[in-house]
Amino acid sequence: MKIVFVEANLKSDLDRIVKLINSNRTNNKDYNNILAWKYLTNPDGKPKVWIAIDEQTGKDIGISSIIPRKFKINNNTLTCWNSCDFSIEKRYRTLGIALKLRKKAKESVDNGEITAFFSHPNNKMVKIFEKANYPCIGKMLHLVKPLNIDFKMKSIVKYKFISKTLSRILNPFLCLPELFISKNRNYSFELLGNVPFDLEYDVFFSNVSKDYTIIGDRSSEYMNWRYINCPLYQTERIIIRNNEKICGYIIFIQIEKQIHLKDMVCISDDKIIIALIANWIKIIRKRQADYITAVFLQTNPMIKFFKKFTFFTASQESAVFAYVNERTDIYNAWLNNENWYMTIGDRDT
Amino acid sequence: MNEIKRFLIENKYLKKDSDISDNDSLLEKGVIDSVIMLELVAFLENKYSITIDKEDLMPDNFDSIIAIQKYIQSKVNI
Repeated sequence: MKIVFVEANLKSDLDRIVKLINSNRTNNKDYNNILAWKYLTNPDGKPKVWIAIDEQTGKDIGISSIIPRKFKINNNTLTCWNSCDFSIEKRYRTLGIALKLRKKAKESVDNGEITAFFSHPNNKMVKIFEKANYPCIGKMLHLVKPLNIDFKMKSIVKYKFISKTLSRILNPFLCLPELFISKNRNYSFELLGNVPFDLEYDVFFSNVSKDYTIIGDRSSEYMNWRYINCPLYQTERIIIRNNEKICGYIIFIQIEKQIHLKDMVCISDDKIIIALIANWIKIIRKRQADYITAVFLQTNPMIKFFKKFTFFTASQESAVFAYVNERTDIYNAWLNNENWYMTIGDRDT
Repeated sequence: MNEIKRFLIENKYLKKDSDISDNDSLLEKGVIDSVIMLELVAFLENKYSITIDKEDLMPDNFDSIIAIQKYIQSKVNI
């Protein structure tokens, strides 16, 4: 069996890619729409998509893609690449093709086509990355804050009435960390729906990006593409302003009674970070949600603040892989997780 | 029962009472995929003291129990 790999022409091959992904995924997502958005409208450029073809039958049997993302590295802008879709026909999942497809990004780095690559894959894909010899640069910590203990009580106490009563007595104690945050009159908060990001965010990002060695672009153009135009979900965000100027925000989604942080950036000021998190939790409490999740790279400076609000680290973890051309001057910086500011929002989509 | 089938059953990739024959496609039936292959390869390398080349990880060699047996045989006989 001979398998050949070709780089797709996005204009003419998009239907092929959609067809392949549709035939290998069991969910009902509209990949026509999703891939058109992801592959054709990304402000940072066009992705690279490799298609594996069974030469004997001429059939497309797998794809792997990476998408460009601008980064601020030591305050210089550089386009790097993030792993994206990966799919192989059932009949060909014997690892060999998966490894070859997965290594395509690595080969592009090695031959100088691209400078650097990173990925925060799902846990199943982690093993493929390891086998393909991508260096793991760290773990993503999954932080969880229960907003009530109803579920826990139900599992401990048999009798409904007693478990409900105990939950009512104990639930208010979970609010204590937010209650003791002193108010600062200079801070104001705004809760927004899926409203476009404007130039104010560019100014904010330009300032905040100086605090980190490596941070993915969060310009208004990128954020509008990534969140506002995203066909996968609708986000909301809370903004904190100090003397009228934006100094931080949290982007999140709500799925039934669960709240998931999608991204967060804030200036390096402990009081402002704490006020932002506290007010976000207060807003969420009014929605009767059960819990909040927030996922950050293990070295993210925000983690310690979330822990102050009784977020605990869940046993679930995920890995981040990175690869960089060793001839570039960002080589050492890129592979050191201490340099990164990374949230779950830095995943492909 | 052969060693490959036993491995798949012990690791719960295959049910004990499964009617999969030695000629059936393990891939089509969803018994193995790229990730399970990692474990299967580690098992086979350890069990038969062989090294499985990444180039050999193709459906021709791993699609069925018979195909795997033939492949192992060819490696052991080298």
